[in-house]
Amino acid sequence: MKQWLIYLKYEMKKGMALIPFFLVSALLAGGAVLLAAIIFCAVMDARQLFPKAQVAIVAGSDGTDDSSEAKGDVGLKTNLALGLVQGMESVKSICSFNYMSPLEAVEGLKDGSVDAAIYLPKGVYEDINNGTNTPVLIRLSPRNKALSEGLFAQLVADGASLIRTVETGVYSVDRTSAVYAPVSSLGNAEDQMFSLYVKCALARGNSFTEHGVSLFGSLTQLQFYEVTAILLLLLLFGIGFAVLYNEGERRAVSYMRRSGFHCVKAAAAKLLSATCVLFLLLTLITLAAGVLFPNGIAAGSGEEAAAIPELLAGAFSKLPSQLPMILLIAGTLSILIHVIYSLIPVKHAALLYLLIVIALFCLTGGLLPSPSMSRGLQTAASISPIPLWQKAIAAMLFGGGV
Amino acid sequence: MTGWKKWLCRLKVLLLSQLRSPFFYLTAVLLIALQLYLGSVSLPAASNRVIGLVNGGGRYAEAVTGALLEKESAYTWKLYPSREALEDAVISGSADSGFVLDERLDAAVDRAESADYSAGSGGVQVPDLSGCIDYYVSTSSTKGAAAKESVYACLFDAISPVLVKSAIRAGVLFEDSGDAVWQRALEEMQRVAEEDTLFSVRFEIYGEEEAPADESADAEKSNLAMIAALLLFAASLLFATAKFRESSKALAIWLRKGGWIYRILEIYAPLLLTGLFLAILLFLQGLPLTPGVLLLIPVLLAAALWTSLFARLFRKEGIYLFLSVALILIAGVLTSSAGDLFFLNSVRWLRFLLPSVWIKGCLLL
Repeated sequence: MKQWLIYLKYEMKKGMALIPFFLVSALLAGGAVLLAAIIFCAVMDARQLFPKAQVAIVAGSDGTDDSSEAKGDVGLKTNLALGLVQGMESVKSICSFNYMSPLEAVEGLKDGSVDAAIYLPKGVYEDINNGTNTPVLIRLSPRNKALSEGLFAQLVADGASLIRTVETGVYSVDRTSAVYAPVSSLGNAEDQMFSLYVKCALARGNSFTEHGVSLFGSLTQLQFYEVTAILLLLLLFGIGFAVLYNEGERRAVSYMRRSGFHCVKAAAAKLLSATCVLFLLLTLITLAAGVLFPNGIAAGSGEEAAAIPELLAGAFSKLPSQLPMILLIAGTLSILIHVIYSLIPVKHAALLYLLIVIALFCLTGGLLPSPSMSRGLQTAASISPIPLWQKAIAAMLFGGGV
Repeated sequence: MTGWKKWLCRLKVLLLSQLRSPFFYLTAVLLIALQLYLGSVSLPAASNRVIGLVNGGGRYAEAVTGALLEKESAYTWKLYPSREALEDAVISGSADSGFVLDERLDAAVDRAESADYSAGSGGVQVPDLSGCIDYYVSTSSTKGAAAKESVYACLFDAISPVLVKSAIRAGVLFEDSGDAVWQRALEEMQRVAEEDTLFSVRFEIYGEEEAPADESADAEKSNLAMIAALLLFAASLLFATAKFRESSKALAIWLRKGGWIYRILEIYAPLLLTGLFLAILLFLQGLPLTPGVLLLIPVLLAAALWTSLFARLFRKEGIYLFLSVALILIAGVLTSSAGDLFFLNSVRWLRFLLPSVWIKGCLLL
């Protein structure tokens, strides 16, 4: 036991001697890793940016006179209907409307500032009511550039389909009344039918039960990359431990084994030393994250800038609940580091460690969440420690179970 | 043998030994694996028009999914075999959003259809479709809300006869509420649907239509080239670690005057071979390789010179490796389209100092 304690002390000294290296490296690389994580997140956001179609409403025009500078009027009922349409979630998600004169609309279509223009002739609402087919003209920009433009046209086609369905029902009642007598009057029967359709159409949103899912599980995208940056930094710390497994160290362990000192004891001492170092570093990182981003990166540094002592006090108050998780992460990470260094040749130890860790990190869900990967890699991710560490760091920083 | 011939002979031996190193092949295999992986991941993107559908059985589910799959649409409707498959597709971003339609629709419509109106006026029973369609949407979905309208438009069309039938049976339309009236109304509905009296929308392209640029394909190629460029830059940084090996130091001393050239060549030789592997892989992944790719030969030499100079700044391999990873991350940001984002615009010129940008340029020539 005494022999082991002496060896442990020796390993601890060597481990602690690495801390300045880790701190310098963390300061130099930590900022870059964090910055890259935030920018990677911004790139992912940019991929999902959806340009809404700019739609011009040209009232009181059928598209034959493009030179008029006056904005027309379509009447109260059509205006009310348009107000309702603009308020719909589906419409708001892909386009925004602007009332324009015919001249403004064509100029917009030419220069690309308008993606589509809807021409609503006078009395269009009454025409629908009377059973007159007055086609509504929709002009699309010649640039055919925006994805949203196609979706806008689809949305209009779907709206027109709803109107046609209602018309079919109401007109069939109208024609059936030629053979069978309506209850009170034909107008009343048509209104009854129209009301039923409108009741159904207005309740259409209730037909859908929404199931929200996310590539990043319970985390937001920014939280995921915050976790990723910390995990990458921790894995990179393993490079520094190469000196604990160099040629001289291995020779020393070999001599000790010959003199009766079991290799398991040597491994336990190394693991304990690495765990202590990683525990200290992770505690420092957690405190720094707590001070810099008290509500996580996603929330920025908080609306009201708190004083440093208050932030420190806040970070320290959270620390006791975080310590068990920090210890778990440090312990399991030191096991991985020990296993890798014990298996690889001494000659390129640090380099090989980096290659293995980067492969493990990138291919098993560190860089991108596992659902975005192929089935084979998802299976690999399910047995990799990377997702488990991510969950543990997330639980430590943002709360919740692992 | 003259001096320079002797030197070249030694150099040849040294380069061959470098190419025989298992480390080189390990690095090459890792880079190829990363290129294959990063080039094939699917991520949510606004350009994705795929909307998933699951037909869980039933008359109305069949009618709606059939109509959606058949009709021309701005969306790409895709049928998934199960709810789980759809959920996975929405999570991974291969589908923007999705809908599950099943027998709950039939049950809701049947309830309305079989309502008992004999007891007197209790109002017309319309199908209560509340919660009958499961809608899967992710945080990155952009078209789900609009796609709901397409789904509902088809469903509305399918249940329309039931609405008319219910109103007739409830006795709110005609004095007679028998089946004959309903049959007549159904015939009239079919006739009206075939006529030209219904509301319509006329689409018109204003001016001369321009051929749409295939932006998604261009972005795909640019992404593949960017990944390959970053991996080659990472490879050159890894190959530069040779300078920390005792054997390499000894060899450089042995070569005396030409030591610095050897330093560059020991990075360049494996880098060129790795570049060849990745170029073949890129070709197989669909990136057309033009003669411009031959420019990689001098550009990779310049990259080797760059990394050799960078490695000279370090004495300890640990710090060098640590900072190399950070450098790759920064290069990733500046080489990708992220370099065009907001605050990075002011430092755009910095990207041209990075070998990854030169390599990407060659691959896209």
